[in-house]
Amino acid sequence: MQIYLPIAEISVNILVILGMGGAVGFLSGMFGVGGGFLMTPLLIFSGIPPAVAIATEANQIVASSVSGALAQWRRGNVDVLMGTVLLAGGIVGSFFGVQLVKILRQLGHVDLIISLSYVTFLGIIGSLMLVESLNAIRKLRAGGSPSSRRPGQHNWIHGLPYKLRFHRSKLYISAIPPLIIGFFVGILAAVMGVGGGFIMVPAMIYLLRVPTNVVVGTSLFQIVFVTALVTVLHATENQTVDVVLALLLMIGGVIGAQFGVKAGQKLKGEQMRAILAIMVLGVCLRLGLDLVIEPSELYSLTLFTGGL
Amino acid sequence: MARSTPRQMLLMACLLVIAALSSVAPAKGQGVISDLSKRDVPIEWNFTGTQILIFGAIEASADDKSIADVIIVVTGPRRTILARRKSRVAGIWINTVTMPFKKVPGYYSIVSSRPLAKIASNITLAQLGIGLDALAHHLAIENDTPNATNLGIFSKAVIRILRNEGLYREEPDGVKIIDKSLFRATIGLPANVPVGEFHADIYLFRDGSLVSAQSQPLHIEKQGLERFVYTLAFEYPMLYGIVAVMLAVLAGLAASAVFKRD
Repeated sequence: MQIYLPIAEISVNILVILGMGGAVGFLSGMFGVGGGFLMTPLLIFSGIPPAVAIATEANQIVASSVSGALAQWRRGNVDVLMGTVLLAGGIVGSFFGVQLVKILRQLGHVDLIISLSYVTFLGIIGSLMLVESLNAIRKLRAGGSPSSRRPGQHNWIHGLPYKLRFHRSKLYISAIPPLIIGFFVGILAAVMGVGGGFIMVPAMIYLLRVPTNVVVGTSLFQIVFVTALVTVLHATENQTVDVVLALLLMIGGVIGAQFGVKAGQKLKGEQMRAILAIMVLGVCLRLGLDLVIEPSELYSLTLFTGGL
Repeated sequence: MARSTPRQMLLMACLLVIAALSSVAPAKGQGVISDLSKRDVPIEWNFTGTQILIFGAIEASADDKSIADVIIVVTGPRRTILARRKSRVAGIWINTVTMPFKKVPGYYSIVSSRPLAKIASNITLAQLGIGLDALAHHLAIENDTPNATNLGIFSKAVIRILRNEGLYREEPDGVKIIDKSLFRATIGLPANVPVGEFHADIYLFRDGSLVSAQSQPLHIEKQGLERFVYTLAFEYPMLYGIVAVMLAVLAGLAASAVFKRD
């Protein structure tokens, strides 16, 4: 069954899009990750213009993170002050990122930058995850228990000014590091169509040393608002949010995630992380090859939208 | 025309009526009468492309031995587009050259009763602006920098890409002439056809020279949900964004409410 996407301006099979949403939803439910970093490349591979893929994916993440954020909020797992500081940075980053996308579109480099960002981030994260999970598997085989890494010493962070008291996290640190982290995540949300949890969660744990029980809730709190803002900004500045595509992905994603959560409870964490790492590296490789291999058509056309 | 559905039979009946009328009408010159099976094409959410039938009658010629040919050119709305060329920079393929083209038809379909080269000379066709070669030439002339190097290569690339997307078409045997007096042709409109004002130009050639021409308007417009979404997105973009976010929030909350029960 075909449906014509009004903004992406292509005709797609409804079942294929629902299936893609379902598959990525399944993985995100199983691994407890956002899924944006897999969904956007899949959309690009299936012919959706990259600028539409990132903006639409930001819209979908609002749906997939809002219920999680609310559940965490009810359990009191959100450090509101920390979340607000991260959000303040995220708001500035979103404006910056969306303007960047707008300029890159006019210059004709937006597809390239989106692909390059993905190759870089997927490459780094996939490799780290693979190494970490292989080490964990090896340790398990040797009979030891998987030990959690101790946070490193980052005393320089405690020397920064503008300190705030984050009661829920039991921290008294400068507002500058969370502002910068939030800003960076805001740019990533705008340019890559991801929630940015894969950067924010480790940064909060290892850099800021936020207690793990509030990390997920606080990052989801920031993600909901930042992706909502990114959606509105992309819609306003670039007209690239395809609400029909987003709704199809939401439906598939929500259903897939339910099954993913159940499947995830039955599998071993280390093996699962290794599988996810290999998938991430596979997507990275495919995007990378597309950049390096000579395209069959060197020319491309875009509609002139004014304001070069 | 081996298979004939009731609809086609009806159309043939219409054609015969038109032919009868045209022979009754005063024979001033060797004219052409034509019509379209539809003048308004709605694009709805399940649009996967459509076909338009263009049919009509050719007035009889005094000279019975002359060869009549029909060329139909359907042109879509003209826009400015940017053509870009990739080059390898530090190992990766990057857009390096950009060339704007003005008044590029978003759709261009040319169907004829015989290959164009057999109907009229290249000069005649070029003067009338008929054919993809003429269009490529026209695009180059409309460019702001008519002396730019690679202009010819770029304008050919524009046409090649639009052709591969199914938006530019050439069918050298698409017009069927029946009994030297009736003609019919189907024009294919793909799913990605742009919206706006189209026109179908019907040219009648006799022995290599143009004897009559007629232009018929055609209107393609988004309808229903498709139109609603598109209008909201481009005319009220901020409202559209806010609605998109609200839908996402509702979807997320509804999902967690539904799945909490089991």
